[in-house]
Amino acid sequence: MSINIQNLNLSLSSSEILKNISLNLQDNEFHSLVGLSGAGKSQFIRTLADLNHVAQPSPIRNNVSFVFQNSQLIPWLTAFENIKICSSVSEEHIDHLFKEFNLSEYKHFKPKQLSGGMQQRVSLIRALAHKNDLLLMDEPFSSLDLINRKSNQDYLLNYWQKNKGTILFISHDIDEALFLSQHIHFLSRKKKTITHSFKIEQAYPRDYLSFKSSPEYQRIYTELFNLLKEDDENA
Amino acid sequence: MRRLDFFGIIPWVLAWELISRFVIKDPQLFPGFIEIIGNTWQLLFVNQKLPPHFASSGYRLVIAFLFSAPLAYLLAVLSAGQKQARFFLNPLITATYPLPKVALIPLVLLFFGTGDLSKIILIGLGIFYLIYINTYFGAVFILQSSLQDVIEVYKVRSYHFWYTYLTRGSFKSFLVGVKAGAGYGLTLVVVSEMSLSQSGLGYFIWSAWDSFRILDMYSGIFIIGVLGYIMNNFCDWLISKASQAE
Repeated sequence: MSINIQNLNLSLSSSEILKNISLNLQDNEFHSLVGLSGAGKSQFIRTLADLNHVAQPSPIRNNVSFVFQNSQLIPWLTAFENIKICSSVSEEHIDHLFKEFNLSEYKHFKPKQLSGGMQQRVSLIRALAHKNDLLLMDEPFSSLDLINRKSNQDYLLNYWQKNKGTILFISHDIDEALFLSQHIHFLSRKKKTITHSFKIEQAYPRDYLSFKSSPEYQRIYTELFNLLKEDDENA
Repeated sequence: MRRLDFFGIIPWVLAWELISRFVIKDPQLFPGFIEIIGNTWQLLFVNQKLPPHFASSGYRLVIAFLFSAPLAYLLAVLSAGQKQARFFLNPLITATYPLPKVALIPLVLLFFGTGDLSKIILIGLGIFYLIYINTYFGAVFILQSSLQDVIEVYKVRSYHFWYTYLTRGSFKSFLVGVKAGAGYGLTLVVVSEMSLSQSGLGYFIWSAWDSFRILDMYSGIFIIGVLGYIMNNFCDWLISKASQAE
């Protein structure tokens, strides 16, 4: 089921945040949205998830899952309970996900007993256990150190390659967006809309270091970097 | 840390003893602390005059807690999570909370007689408000936190919303209410027993004063102080356990 967003506008407290955003997400595609801080990336996906409580409802009618920036695990519940409360799938399926994300030993741990990387993996399991047509991810790995970030990116990509699904991933890190996605969209802070989109041809599984040295990576990275720089100067 | 808190009492006890010996020097009016402890020991373990009163007060406090605390907890969570419940309950709570519960003694007596029931109801009422208010704001805090985004995205409803999320989440606030309620409940136990009872620590203190058994009166007050200290520390321990569990 493809997801088509047409001319989405968003104003909060009478200030215009987003203007005429259109985006088409085909089934099982991995999209990333990049932009400077304050460009409205998070507000965009919050609007898609109907979390902004604005008069205009979300333009999409599909079931969504959401991976938040700070895991947002409920602190008084165990990792397992955090999944169970949000999902109607069987306990066996949840157990299977814990195994897949290498967290079986930790499923009865409280969030504060887990590292930041593990918390985000639990948050990811929660999103995947919920039946969804679109997985929204709001800079989920931005607060992690490099090793944990890479490891969580690998977990996500491995799962996605096996099980597919449509993903919209928010990042301010071009490198991360390039490594993960098939499509990258640039949200301009100045114009408040998506001004450029890029398709990445590199097949999966991607080897991080060899992909990084490829001409495709170099070209898109440079273009995105210049767009960000220009947007920052214009703001 | 709690052990250190206990040792913090020692200078005050010492000051009491010194004032009674060298400043006031009137054992009838202001007996020394050691004398009070000795007398309390006698009342508790030798002539055993205090235990029945202690048991009466404890019974009233415990029963009042047993009916009041769960009710306050449930209504507070319901009121925080549901607009209609809030519409009915909050105006009533806001209007009646400032009433001094002691002022309700004649009314409670009128309706429930002079037996244990009237005291239990009065104590329960006092406890109810403190637990309700603490739990209510704990639950509201959860509902206004960013965790609410998770509840909305994943459409958490019914049992998981009311029990797993809201009731379990506001448990720590409930315990804070229990701590405040325990202190106030003890006050109400004593006050209600002073005016309409033939047993209990309040009655014991009042009758000791009435028959000029000043040392017994101090012992009664001392026992209430110890009881309050134990209850307070027990609640602190429960709150710290609940915090660790999060």
